[in-house]
Amino acid sequence: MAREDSDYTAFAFEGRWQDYAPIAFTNLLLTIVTLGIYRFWGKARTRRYLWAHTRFIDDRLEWTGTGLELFKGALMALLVIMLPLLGLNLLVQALVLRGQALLGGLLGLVQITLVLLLVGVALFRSLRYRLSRTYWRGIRGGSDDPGLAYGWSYLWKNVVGYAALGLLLPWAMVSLWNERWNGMSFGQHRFTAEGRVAGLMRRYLLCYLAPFIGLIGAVLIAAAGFAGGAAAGGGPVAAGASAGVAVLGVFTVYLVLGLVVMAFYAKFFRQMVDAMALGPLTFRFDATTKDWLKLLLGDIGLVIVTLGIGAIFLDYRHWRFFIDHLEGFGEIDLDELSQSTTAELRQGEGLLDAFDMGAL
Amino acid sequence: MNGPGVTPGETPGDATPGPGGGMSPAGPFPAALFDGQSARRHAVLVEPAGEGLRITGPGDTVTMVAGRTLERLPRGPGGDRLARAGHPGWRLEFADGLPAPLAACLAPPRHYGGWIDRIGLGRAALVFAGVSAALVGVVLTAPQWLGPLVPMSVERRIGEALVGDLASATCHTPAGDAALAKLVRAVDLPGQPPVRAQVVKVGMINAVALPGNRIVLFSGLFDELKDPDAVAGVVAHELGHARKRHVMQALLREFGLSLVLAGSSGAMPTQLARVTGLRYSRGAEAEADDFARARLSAAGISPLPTAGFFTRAARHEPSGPWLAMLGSHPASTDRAAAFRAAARPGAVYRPALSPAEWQALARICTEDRRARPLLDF
Repeated sequence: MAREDSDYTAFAFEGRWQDYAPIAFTNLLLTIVTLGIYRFWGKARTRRYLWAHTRFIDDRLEWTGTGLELFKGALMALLVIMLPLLGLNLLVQALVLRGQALLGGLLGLVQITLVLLLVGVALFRSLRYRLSRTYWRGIRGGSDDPGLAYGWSYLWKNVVGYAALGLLLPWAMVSLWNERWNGMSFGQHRFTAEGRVAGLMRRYLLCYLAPFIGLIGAVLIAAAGFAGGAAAGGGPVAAGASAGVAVLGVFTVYLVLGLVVMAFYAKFFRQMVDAMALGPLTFRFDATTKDWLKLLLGDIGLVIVTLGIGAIFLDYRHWRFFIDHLEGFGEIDLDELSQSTTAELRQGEGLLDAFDMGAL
Repeated sequence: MNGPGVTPGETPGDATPGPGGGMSPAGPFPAALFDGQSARRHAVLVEPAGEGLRITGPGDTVTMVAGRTLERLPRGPGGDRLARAGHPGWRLEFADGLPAPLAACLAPPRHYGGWIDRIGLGRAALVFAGVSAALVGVVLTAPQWLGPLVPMSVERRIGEALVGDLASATCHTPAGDAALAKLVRAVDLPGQPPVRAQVVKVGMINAVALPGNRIVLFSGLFDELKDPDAVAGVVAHELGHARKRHVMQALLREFGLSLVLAGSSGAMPTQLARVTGLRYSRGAEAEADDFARARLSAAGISPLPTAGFFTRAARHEPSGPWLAMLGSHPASTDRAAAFRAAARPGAVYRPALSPAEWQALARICTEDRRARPLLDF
């Protein structure tokens, strides 16, 4: 299937925002008049468009998930997970108010444990759901793992990551990524993810130290401002100038912090995707920190300029970014690629939805 | 069983279907079939047959598919696609669009969802907007008439479940308890079920009405109020909330709004709920103030110290511990003016408590050393 010409790419997004706009605007309208209930159906419509306009090798993807199953999933999550958690929360508060602080604290700990575990399960199951609803040439993906084991891993690896002063968080992120993808398959092929921490630590340490570096920088800038103000002989103009410099300093801290976190994440995402394979296929993701920054600034600009309405195009922009930078290599034998035997799921990603977490 | 015009060899395995030989307006039409078993694309010929489609595949294999089991998927860049119920991954693809004779055998594709497609987007949006507006309207007004219908025993149990009895933080001295009881008796409506009043050790200038006819004064209140008449005004205000069933109404409103808006997530609905709760609460606050002025007047207690309390509060309004109490209340200057106006010129007022009783009440939490602070602020 691989071709020789240089601008050929296995993954390509071929949608136009002008074609997507009618979907986005009608979704917004129907979501408003149904007090938000329609957003499940809207999400399914959006994905149907995005998938259908994504070409892999010589055929487009197809999203077969429905709004009803997303709605059912969200309802189930609300009844089975969120209401008991809310009840537990009320119980903790009632205990603390009755002076049973120790018991309340213990129960609170149980609650946090449960939430972390469930977030892990939710992350796993939503990926599983998405793969099981993604078809290519009539073949779908999925997983037979219910995700509970991943939930426990998510819990203890994050706890260890934070407990080691946050220094083991990259390890936790990498090993969780691998664990999640190694549980997934497409057709009869299993995904393999062998991402490594090596190569990430330098950027992570930069993130880790950025607050201190930023603070020192801010102090230096502020000092320079004051010195300049004093040299100008005080007065309201000088005071205003040094205040401006101080604001600039604070702004710099946030900017530096955001940039280094983005630099880490860009490298992390590249390194993880590059270490993935599906049967004979290997993958590559080539978005640099600059690309991520452009995506984010574009998002912010779009939302501000349109007074918020532009937010309905963010899903489109993110999917396009993802597909534009994704590349696949290798040969697929189409006769040999056979249907997935994984269990079919009945509900959508309700749990993840309940925790209000995003796609990318 | 051969389809007309099909000869073996005209349907190569994995290829885009070419024009079928001998095509007529009624078919057969070339198409591509994915069988959902492998990723291979089969070139086939399709023609309408009875209430369905006849599909002739490689090797002249013929499959009959009922039209009602087929679903038209929304049109995409690769043309039209049909899916088949009970056969996941089965796709029949017409790269140049679904031929009209075949489309006639099938239901139109879905766009917004089955329900909306049937009645049209515009009408569906109007229906949904109407139902939603009615629902929000019911939820906003229901607490007012539903609240008083909830039995007090149920309300008490809810209060018990939500905040408990606060026993460990409640201050008691025999003289202080007696003074508080006297104050409540003086400003309460006669012949009503009893109200439970308590002073709780919290360093906030605040008082609250709790579910189940309960009034809680925070001990911080006595650091600020130096006059029993002002405390009488505060107690009368909270009694107003209890007697007018505001507490149950507020509970119902909070619960109902969160239920209706559960479908939408994000920060917007919570903000909305808070804003509507605020407006509701301002109406209730005004009603409780009216109640307080009427009861102070009936008890022969001067409203002026309460007015003074609000005047001082107005000075602190933008910041400080006052915010906690005043967040959902009307502007303090207006309230001060209303209480000042309630004073009748020439009327003879008597103090709400004797100096000894007042001392016992104001120092109740200083003297009761067993009470533990509720929360440290």
